[in-house]
Amino acid sequence: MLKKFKPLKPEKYWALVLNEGATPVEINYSSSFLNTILFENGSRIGGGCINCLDKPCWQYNSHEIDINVLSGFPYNNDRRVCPSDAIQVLEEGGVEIVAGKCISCGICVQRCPSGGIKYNSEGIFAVGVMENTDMFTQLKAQDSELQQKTMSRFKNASESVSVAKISRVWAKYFRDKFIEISHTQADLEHVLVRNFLLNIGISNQISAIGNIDIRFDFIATTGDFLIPGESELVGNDILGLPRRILDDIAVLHSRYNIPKDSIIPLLILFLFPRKRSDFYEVLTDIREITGFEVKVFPIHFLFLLNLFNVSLDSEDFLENFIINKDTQDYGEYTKRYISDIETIDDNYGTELYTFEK
Amino acid sequence: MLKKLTHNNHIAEKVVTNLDRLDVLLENRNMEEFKHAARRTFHDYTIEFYELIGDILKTIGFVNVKITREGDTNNRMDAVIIEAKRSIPIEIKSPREVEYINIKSVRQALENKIVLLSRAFYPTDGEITSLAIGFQYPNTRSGVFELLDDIKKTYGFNIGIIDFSDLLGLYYKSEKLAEEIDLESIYYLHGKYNAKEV
Repeated sequence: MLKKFKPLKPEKYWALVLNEGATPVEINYSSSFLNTILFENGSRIGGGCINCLDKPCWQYNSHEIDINVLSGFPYNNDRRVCPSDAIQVLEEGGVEIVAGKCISCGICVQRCPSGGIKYNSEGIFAVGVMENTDMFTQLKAQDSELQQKTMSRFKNASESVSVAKISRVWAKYFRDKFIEISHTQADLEHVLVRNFLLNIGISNQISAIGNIDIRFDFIATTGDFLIPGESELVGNDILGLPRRILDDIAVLHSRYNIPKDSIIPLLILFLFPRKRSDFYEVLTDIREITGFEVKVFPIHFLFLLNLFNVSLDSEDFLENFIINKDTQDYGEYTKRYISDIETIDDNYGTELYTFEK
Repeated sequence: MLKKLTHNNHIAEKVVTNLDRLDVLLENRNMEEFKHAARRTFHDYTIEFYELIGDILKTIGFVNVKITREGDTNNRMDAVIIEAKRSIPIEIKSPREVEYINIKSVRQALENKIVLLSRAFYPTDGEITSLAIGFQYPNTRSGVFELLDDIKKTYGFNIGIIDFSDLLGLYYKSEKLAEEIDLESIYYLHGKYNAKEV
């Protein structure tokens, strides 16, 4: 029978380190309330918090945030992983997720090396307690060397994802909670976008609050390309997005001498605008007249890529993600990365994927 | 005189009264006072401002100026000077919307140009300006002038900006001084209209 580790008394430090011979080979992330760790000896246990030294679920490293994408771009250097700041580091070690602040985006889940953050029955994420005392030793004081070794061994393990269902309730909770918290947290939208992109392998920086000089919402890079980006997740100015991205392209090309064919403009939105809104026609006009093919990400797509631990590279950008008057259905793009999404996602075909019919 | 600009029946009586006053100023050939009074009169109006801009453009020599009706999202521009080959899209910002021509105005003027070229509602070409007309010119620190140059360098388009005061000056020259306005300088306008002209 599995015995759960109980963190030591609150005033005492605790952390878990892998025992010699306990080698994790696969971390399985699941939407069914339990992530698991498969060990080399064939045993499988539920994942939990090991109280890592650098807390990747809580903060990005400096080298992930303080990068040089565009010289002189005044960027937001807040390193928090949770866009809504729901993850709290506890004084005695470990972290907890403040339920009332979790927007259920899942960004923290993929950052945890030991499958310690799981989707729970309340529709949000929570930190799990590690099971099985046979694989770990509980420290009573910090031991950097042992803890780093444990981290490395977890990082060497492969990852798999099991998602049974993405309910409409989940997607609605994410959107509603995001909108609720965005009223009180000015940079929520931009940090959410940045962190989703970082988690899918796209280095990027978001604009510092109050920056009006260089007006990109974010600037990302993949391969030899620069990706200026604009997002509109809360407001209603969807038609402003194409204008803003044209501005971004002009600034990049004119002031930074970035060749036009090295620029991939990207828009991020929450819901697809109505068909008659003219959004799709304007993107077509831009392509026809300027030659720029503006790419579009619905935030739900980023949510899915993060959930399924999918990374993108420059080839993906060049070949996909075009939305215009001839193409308004994101289902096909999503299937290229998550082939059975149509059956997994109850939101398939809604305005998270295409315009409202 | 200016009263003839009020073809829109929705213009309030108070405005018409002000236009009478402006007529007097126009008769006296006091351009600065005329401009000042007109600016004061139309400061709090939106639709009337759009109509007035259209009428001034007609008066100074653009024969066919169309103001886009409200809610027409397909035809993106606020107004358009329609010509056989050189149609000019116009973005208008009334003082009730914004006091100064701003970044947003310029972005919209750029989009107007792209949409007109692509959809070809009216004939034009890449060299012809796209206008942003507003109540006042932007200040030098607004970033507008840098953006105008960025657009020219990147897309090759001329975006011209004209403020209400300069338009009133052109109207004054045309109506009171019976001078011919050099429309060519507007067809290819890039950046701020040359205020010395008015």
